[in-house]
Amino acid sequence: MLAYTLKRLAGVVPTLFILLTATFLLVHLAPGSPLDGDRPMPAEIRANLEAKYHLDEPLIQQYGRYLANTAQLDFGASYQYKDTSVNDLIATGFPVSLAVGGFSLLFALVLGIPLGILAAVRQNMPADYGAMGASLAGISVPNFVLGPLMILAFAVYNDWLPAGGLGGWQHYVMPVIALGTMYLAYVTRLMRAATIEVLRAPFIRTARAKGLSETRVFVVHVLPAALLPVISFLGPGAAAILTGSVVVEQIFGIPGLGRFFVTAALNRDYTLVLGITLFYGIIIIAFNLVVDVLYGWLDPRVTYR
Amino acid sequence: MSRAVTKQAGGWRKQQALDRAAAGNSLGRDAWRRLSANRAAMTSLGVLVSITLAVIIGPWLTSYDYFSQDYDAIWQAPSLATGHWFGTDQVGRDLFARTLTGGRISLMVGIVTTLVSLVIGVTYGAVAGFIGGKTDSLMMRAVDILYSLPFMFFVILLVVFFGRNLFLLFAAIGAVSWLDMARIVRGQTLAIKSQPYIEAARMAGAGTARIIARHVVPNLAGIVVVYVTLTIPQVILFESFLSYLGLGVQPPATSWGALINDGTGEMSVAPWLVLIPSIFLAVTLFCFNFIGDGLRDALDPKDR
Repeated sequence: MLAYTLKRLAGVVPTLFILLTATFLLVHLAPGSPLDGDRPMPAEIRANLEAKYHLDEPLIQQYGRYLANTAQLDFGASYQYKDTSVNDLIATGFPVSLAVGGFSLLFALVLGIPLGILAAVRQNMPADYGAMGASLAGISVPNFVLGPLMILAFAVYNDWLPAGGLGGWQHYVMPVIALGTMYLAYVTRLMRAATIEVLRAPFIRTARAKGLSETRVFVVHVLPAALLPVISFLGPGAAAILTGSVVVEQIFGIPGLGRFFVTAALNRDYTLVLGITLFYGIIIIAFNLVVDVLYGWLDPRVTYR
Repeated sequence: MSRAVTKQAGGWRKQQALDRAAAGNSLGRDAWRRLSANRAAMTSLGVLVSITLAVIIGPWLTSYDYFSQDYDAIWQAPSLATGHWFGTDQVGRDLFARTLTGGRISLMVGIVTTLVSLVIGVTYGAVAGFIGGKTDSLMMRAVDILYSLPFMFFVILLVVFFGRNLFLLFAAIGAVSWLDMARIVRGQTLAIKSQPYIEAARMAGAGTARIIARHVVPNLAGIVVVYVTLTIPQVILFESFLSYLGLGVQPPATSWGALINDGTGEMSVAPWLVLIPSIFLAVTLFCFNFIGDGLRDALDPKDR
């Protein structure tokens, strides 16, 4: 088990390396310099500034500095918000995004797993068609459509829920539904397909032949095996939720990291965009690692070599 | 153990399907028969064809264009009398023309970008699967690594650093959406590789490149069609997402995502501005997904 974990950990190194190299090259291939402004800059001042930001060093040295800084999770200063480091902005915004994203993932799992099981058990019956139709609709209605429609229905026409901002639990209802629905749909489909496959497996027949009760067959044998695809979806799912929260935060005016990211992208705040991309990249890689290890631990077919 | 048994069964069925394909193109006909029996998929196909035609022809049917402003006719509700069938926005632009012209961009991005991802994905997957061995595991390891990167953020990064233009959008989205295709094509190639006709071609003196291009790729068509149908809506969604954030197509050009973004701001005064483009986008995505699902069932009758 330890060896397996270490092996997965070693597998993270090339991924991180590619993430860092790709972002670094992207920034340096981009036309223009971050020092370019509206007015031409005297050569001496420019040289001084370049020296200050180490832009005069050879590329490889800059790359080394960049790796060292990122290794210490130091993302530099924001261009747009003066006197604020990217780290400060991440520290303010991320907990908010984490709360919205975490609740959305929970929402998707808590509803999607039972719904998928129901559809599988009632395969090719009305309940199945209903659940599958609904989940296809869930996949087809993007969060930036669902969000505004919900605001229209529940905040503009009826005064049931706050339209935006952060506060009590009511503020979370619409963002979580908007963000979670698509993953709810994916989880339902995954759970249904996996349950159907497991139900047909010979070991289930064996369990029934032993005379186990239907409940016991389901809880002890079917469920753990059918949950595995959902667990392996958690990695990409979490990445997608982080991405989706960029939009949802924009719609509902939630002061999270995603909102900073969009503002930074629109204002070409290079360091902030880069810092958030790196930060999210690292988070996603770390989360994938945790899911992989968890998967290996849960699935008896994975061998620890 | 159980997994191995089901796998084998699946392999056998695939074999059967391939045998049928060999016997005079009957897999295609068979699949079409099964698809046309799927009423949901056929309805979706009909709706999709209508939307495509509307998007192509529609803008010529109205006397308004999509960019002219008319301050005497702002926030007009949809009406047949005024000729603004879908109403107008906050500067009096005709939403009918805007929705359909925006649809052109959305659908075009969807199709062109999917073609980009198709070419990359099929080539990559077929080469990895056919060559096999160390090359294969190295190539697939690279795909695994790319999988775990936050692509949306990369595309935004690209757009921010290199400016916003449609061509970059095609290339960037295409470059990140070929991974699924590569994986699936590789898996299928592994199965095709051991077919007798490949051996026959090799014996007849065909080189690797020729075998991949003439014998492997054509036999991938079925599975590739399914994934193309499922990639198009993803790409349309991706573009809408970027345009919604203001990072996609730039005014005066528009797309469904950009229209939904514009409409969201005017929602309480003029709800049709967000409703109509949203309906177009959602219905299109829904139809593509339905057809993709239907095609998958039609080509792989495993779950029937």
